[in-house]
Amino acid sequence: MALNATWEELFGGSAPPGQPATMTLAGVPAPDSGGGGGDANLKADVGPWHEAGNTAGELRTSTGTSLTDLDTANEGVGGGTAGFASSGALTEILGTWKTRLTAVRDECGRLEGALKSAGRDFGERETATQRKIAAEAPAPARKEG
Amino acid sequence: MPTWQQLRDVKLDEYSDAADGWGKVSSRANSDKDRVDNGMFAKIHHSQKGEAATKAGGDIQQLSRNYQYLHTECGLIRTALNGLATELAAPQKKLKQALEDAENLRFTVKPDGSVEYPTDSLVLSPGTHTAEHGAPVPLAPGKGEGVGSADANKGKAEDIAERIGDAVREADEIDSRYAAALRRLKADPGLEVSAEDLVDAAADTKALQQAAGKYADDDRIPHGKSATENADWWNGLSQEQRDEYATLYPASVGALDGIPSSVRDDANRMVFAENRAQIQTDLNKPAPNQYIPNPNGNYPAAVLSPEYKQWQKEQERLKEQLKGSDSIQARFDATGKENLPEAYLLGYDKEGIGRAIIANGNPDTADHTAVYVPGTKTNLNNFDEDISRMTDMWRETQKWAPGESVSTITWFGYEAPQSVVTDATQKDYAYDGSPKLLQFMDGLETAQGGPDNSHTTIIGHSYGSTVVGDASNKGDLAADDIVAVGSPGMLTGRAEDLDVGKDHVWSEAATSDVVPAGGKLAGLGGYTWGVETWNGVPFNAGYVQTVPSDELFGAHRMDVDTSGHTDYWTRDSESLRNQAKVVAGQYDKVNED
Repeated sequence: MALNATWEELFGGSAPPGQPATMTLAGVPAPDSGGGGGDANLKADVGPWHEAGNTAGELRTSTGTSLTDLDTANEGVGGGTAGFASSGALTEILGTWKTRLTAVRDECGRLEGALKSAGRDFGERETATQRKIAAEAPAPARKEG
Repeated sequence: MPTWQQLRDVKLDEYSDAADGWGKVSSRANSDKDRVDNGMFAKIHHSQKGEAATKAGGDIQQLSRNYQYLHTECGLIRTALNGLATELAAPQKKLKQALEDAENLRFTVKPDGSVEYPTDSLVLSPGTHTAEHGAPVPLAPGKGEGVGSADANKGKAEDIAERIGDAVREADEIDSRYAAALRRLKADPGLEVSAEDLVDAAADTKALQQAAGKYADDDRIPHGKSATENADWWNGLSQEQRDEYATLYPASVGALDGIPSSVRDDANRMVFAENRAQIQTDLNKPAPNQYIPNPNGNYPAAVLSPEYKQWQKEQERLKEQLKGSDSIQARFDATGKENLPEAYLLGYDKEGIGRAIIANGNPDTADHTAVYVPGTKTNLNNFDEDISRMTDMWRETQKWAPGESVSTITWFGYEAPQSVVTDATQKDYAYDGSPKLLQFMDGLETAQGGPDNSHTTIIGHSYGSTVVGDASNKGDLAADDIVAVGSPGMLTGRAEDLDVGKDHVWSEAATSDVVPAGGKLAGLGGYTWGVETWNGVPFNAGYVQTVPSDELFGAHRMDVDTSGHTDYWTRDSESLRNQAKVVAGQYDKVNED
């Protein structure tokens, strides 16, 4: 697939409103389909796209923790506060924020995949070029003595 | 409405525990936003990957907006829950006291809140009676009907019933108030954070300020106090209180000179994002009817409606405000470009000619800090160059301070004159601006942890140098070096009169810059007795007016290779290099007369 077409798929269309972000997650190619070998991965891992992808992965975890925090923190509210309208209001809004956090978490997952995949695409070409240059260049003359 | 039993039994800890959870989510979102901005956007946005970077950048910026939205709204929910728990504690305590009193008197509080009491009164019929909340009484509750009775139980029971009823009513008022505020704080579905969402967030903040005013009051934030007092107040708060003030009153916290720059930046960025969204949504408002029938005859048949004229005027104003916010947003987005460090928004106001204070790199931890005070005609609607002068200054200074951290700040924190005028009011802009500059510099020094922690240079351009001069005249300017660039005068006659001492006053003036001479006509220089020289040759003596570029003034006259009044920060110029050397403290490398 041409690079631009890959990008169209990775970052081009946002999910239509109301569609969960996981819908687009399916559009991320499996790690191998990017064409990069393990070797290329290793080298590209230090590149900015992989670093950005790694950050997205950390944020995915971090946002997952927030989801858990909300559940844990609000657990006792219903039982211990019967009769108070605020508890009902809290339950109402809690659901909307869990939905938002889930969407954000999934988006982080999607971006992690997409950015790393992009990094592989870029890195792969760079690595390939480097190899080519290295292969064509004459071995450096050793200074003797 | 809760019953008295529910008020007695409510576990207020559940609300404060829940508040802690929302608070964690809010704080985490705040630091996650920084990771998105610095660890993702800045990394790839400026890579040479064209279209790819642009598309990914858009998605990443949306993610960043989500974290900012989560930071704000979850922070408000935290504060609402804490406010609710705190306020409910009072009626709950009142109720429990009443119940305890009832028990001690062996009265029975019935499910409906009435109080049953025994009596042996001669007036009342024997047996048990019931006192109810709000029963009509001739005098004060619990007092009147007891009069004439040898038995005080009736009065006591009525007093208890009254307190129970009051407690429940108070609790209900608090609960309803917070429930309404909480219901507003819901998330829209999806991933988009639209301008409307941010405008709503601003309105939610205002609504909660009203609802939670008793719990967290803006008046408790210092206003118009010294930087040290501000810092003392801030340091005396718990982390949770800091977070609460910062999310509930971001504008007040963002303006506090003396508290950490990262806190001010977070608060101001929230205000900035919400203001920007407001400008955008206002711009999209549909136009009113353009034409109305001509009220003064039938030719022309229709004229522009007054509403339309008003709307047009408003649109112009909004476009200018948007332009100002675009300049600031562009600086945020430039982080990472040519190694540019993260930006800190230390002040923002869209009204009038606007205000903005933007740092490149964290000033609190900088080895070298430069503060640039812009001059005449500075306006937020034309601000790109005021920002780029200091980003270029940052890059140049970094070359002269290898291995050291540098922060350069554009300080547009005063009402700059909008035209070159030569009347007496010209000085008033400096008189009004200098206290604000003094306060900002004090705040910087406080946040840096004292005067010795950062080498600080103030660069005054044009009228900005007049403000710097007046600040030095009026107060104790917290700076180590002063650079006057294209200065029309500093309202002082000699470099040695400035707070930093003669050796640390520097001047740049291009021969083709007419402002220094013009400044003398306007009387912005200072007067001193002395001999005026030109290239060392005396040409006049007496009580004369001087500006920083005059030899008699006594500043280091640095070499300049740019021309005119506005090119002193041209990249790779001697003019910029010399300033940067001063900022980096490399005095002996400066090229001067």
